[in-house]
Amino acid sequence: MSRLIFSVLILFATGCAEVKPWQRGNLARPSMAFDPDPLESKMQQHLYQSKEGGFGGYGIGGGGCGCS
Amino acid sequence: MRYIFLLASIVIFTRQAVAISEGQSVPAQIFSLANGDALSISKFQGQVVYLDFWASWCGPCKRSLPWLQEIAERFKERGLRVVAVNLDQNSVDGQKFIRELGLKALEVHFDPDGVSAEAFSVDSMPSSVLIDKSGKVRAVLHGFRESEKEELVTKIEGLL
Repeated sequence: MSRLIFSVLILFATGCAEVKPWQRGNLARPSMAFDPDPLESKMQQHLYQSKEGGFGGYGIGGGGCGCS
Repeated sequence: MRYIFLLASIVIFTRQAVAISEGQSVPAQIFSLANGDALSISKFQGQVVYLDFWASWCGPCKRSLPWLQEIAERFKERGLRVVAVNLDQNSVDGQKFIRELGLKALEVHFDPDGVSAEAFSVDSMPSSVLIDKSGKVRAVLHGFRESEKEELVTKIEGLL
């Protein structure tokens, strides 16, 4: 029983807060994007491929086998 | 034990969002907005109102607002009121947006605290509510789709 009470109390202690649809202005900023500059990212990937022979792992085609 | 825990989680974390739906009457209250502005939908009783909630950072709003301006001008004489409520947390962004797009035909209110959005249970951006002359909600729209424009115009014409 005490475990149950503890579990319920823990749920109340979480730091979750709901962000309303109209409060997402900051999240919508370009700087908050996962990839704010796709061109720059592509350049970086090209550099790694040329210098280190490493490729992939960025959510694009190729699994890093070096066979592309 | 596991099920009790699961049930407790659902009870605590499930928010009972009561979204405004077709056939309901609009909230009669007067919303006190920032800078002394007030929004009262009930004052439009006897008119058809298209209430739109938008923000400057919302991509589809860049397409919906110019179209709303077009609609406002087209049906102005027949008694349509287009009320656009800006929900930017910084109203200056909304004012800049209005200036840049030249949206002069719209009645714009600024609600940075989202008081009215809360009352209308806005769950997406943009969101719109079409209200008939008796103050009843006739359509609730989430987002903006080009394909829905025609149907909406027909609905507005039917209510005017």
